[in-house]
Amino acid sequence: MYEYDQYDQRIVDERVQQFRDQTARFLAGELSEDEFRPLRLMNGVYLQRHAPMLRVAIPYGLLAARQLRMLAHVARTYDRGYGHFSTRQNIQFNWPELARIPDILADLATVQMHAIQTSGNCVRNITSDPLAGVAVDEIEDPRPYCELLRQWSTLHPEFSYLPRKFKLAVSGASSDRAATAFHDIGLRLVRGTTGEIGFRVLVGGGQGRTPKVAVVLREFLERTDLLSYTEAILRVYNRFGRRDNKYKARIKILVAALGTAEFRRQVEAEWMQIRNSSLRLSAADIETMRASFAPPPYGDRRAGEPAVPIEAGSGYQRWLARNTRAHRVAGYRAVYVSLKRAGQAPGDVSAAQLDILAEVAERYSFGQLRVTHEQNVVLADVHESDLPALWQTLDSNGLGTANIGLLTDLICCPGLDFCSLANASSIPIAAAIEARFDDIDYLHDLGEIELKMSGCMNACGHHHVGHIGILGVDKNGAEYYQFTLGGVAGDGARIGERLGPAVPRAEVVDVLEGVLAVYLELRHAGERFIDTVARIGIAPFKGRVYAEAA
Amino acid sequence: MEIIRNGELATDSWVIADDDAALQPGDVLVSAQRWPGVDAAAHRGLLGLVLPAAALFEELAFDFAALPLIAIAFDDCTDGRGYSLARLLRRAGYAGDLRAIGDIRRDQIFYLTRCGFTSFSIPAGRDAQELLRGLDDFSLAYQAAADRRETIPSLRSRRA
Repeated sequence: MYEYDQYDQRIVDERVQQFRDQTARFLAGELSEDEFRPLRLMNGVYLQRHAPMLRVAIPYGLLAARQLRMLAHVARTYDRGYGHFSTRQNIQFNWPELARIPDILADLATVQMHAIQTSGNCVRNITSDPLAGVAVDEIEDPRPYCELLRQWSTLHPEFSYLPRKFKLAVSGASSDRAATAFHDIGLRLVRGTTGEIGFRVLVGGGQGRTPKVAVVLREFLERTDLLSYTEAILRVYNRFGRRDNKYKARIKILVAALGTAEFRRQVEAEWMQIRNSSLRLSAADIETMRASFAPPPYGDRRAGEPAVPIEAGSGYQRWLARNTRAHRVAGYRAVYVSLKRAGQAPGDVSAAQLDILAEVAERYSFGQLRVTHEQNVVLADVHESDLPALWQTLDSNGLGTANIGLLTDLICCPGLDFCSLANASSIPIAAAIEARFDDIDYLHDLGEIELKMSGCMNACGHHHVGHIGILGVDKNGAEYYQFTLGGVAGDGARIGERLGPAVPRAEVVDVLEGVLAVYLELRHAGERFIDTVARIGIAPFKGRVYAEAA
Repeated sequence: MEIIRNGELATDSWVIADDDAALQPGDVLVSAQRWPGVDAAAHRGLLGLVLPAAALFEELAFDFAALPLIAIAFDDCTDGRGYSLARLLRRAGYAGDLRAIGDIRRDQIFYLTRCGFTSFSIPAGRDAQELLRGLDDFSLAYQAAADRRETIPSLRSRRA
């Protein structure tokens, strides 16, 4: 993975010093809350319901074992012994003391980590495919481009006070596992007409109050033009995006207001001014960065060692089928470690689990892992002969749940329990769902279903793109939940359709069960939930759910 | 007024002209609306331009290249439009003093400098030394911008 050089390190160290100074001035009363807000937000610090929340950046979701151990240290020393992986591949700590956050950042800086631009109206952490570099359907590894964009966007002097937050995702595979159509800019590595590799540039996707699927801004962009074209988009947005209403300030609103053709014309006109500037990447720039993501030394490294015996009926085969994926190198698998199980909020990870993940990453996957936007982690490079031993270690530490892609592998925001924006709970609903649907045979029979839940319109739980989406709303002080069906985050991206009026909290799990019953009744053999919804529409589901309620 | 210019405290005599009052002699900043009606030859003193952060670069339909001072006024220092406006003015070849006035704070001054601002007004009640310290928040930068700072990519290629 990319290692900081002296310059990267100095930037991060100076940022720690700057934030230490800003925090001291705020605590001394020299900065007002209004003055401090944009500063702390650009370091990922929110003032939450109980305590400040600190969001730490995990660029494109990639972590080394020593970084995992540092996160465990932060959880133990400054928090309540756990952290929370977010849907943007970052990690959040919910209980730090504001006065100690500079110390946390200083600790993180020793392992090349930071919280720069994890919030605020600036370019946020750049997300990517958790199978980057190992996927069988990959055209090119997207991570070198993520890192080039990370450096370009870090402390950008002109784009640190945009109209609103700005999110980029880069995917290098033919299947989109990075939800690129729901980002302000989505970049897909594609092959052009003559076989050369470049980017398809998507713009204006997003969730929140006004969900939109991104439009194609440019079918093919040469890789050397990545930074200049991105800068052109950002400059047009910074100048013309709305600033009078924060709910109308995302780039998707500007693109819709101007129309794609006019927005494209403006971007291309700006791009012509800067295309041949120092923003142009040389082939050497790209090759140097690609070398930072060179494959690990694959080999038959466990040859000759006896395989760990696995008892029949132990669940290993089910885990193998459900939680591992093909790898581009023969003899290896990519392993998803589920962070979804009864008794633990989705995405939550304890300090002890972080240490175990560090250990298994070191022992079985070249010392690295990736955080996924579904709030799980991936050990991307596991030799097949190590799988039984890995499974035993994970399983005995509560990390062996074989539910990747199933109903209980649900995405959920922190909700009313932590977040000051939320209208309704999400974690207790997730817990109720995990409790009701605990029959593993039933879950496997249901097959792949993406359930995504948000505690408010801001859609941090991505409910718009859930096969089943659940949105918490406030109705005269009571928590209600709005269901949507048919959303898709990746290939064939679309926004879910409202099932009907929101239901009270006590009925959420029953409604979900009703929706699933309709699917089980009407599905064709082997048909996934999302395909059944696409085939029959939402009417049969609506009929069942609201007939029962009536 | 008391200002920061090129990283040091200074004073100068620029004042902002009221659009509705007669132009007084001296070093005067006038608005873009008023500019076409100003008789520069008759003015005793220097003339500069003052623009709001939201001003559209494309609407500056006159030759500003030779002006000694252009000021961009921020009602809110987090109005990013003023940052882009500064860069566009520099890109268009404006080489005179570019001043940020209005809501100027320590924590934005480093970025503003990188966008091409060379001077800053000091708001009433703000500590000038504190603002000066903001100029040194970072010793390095990744991006080429409108200042003369050597970028990290450039430093790297020199070492390679």
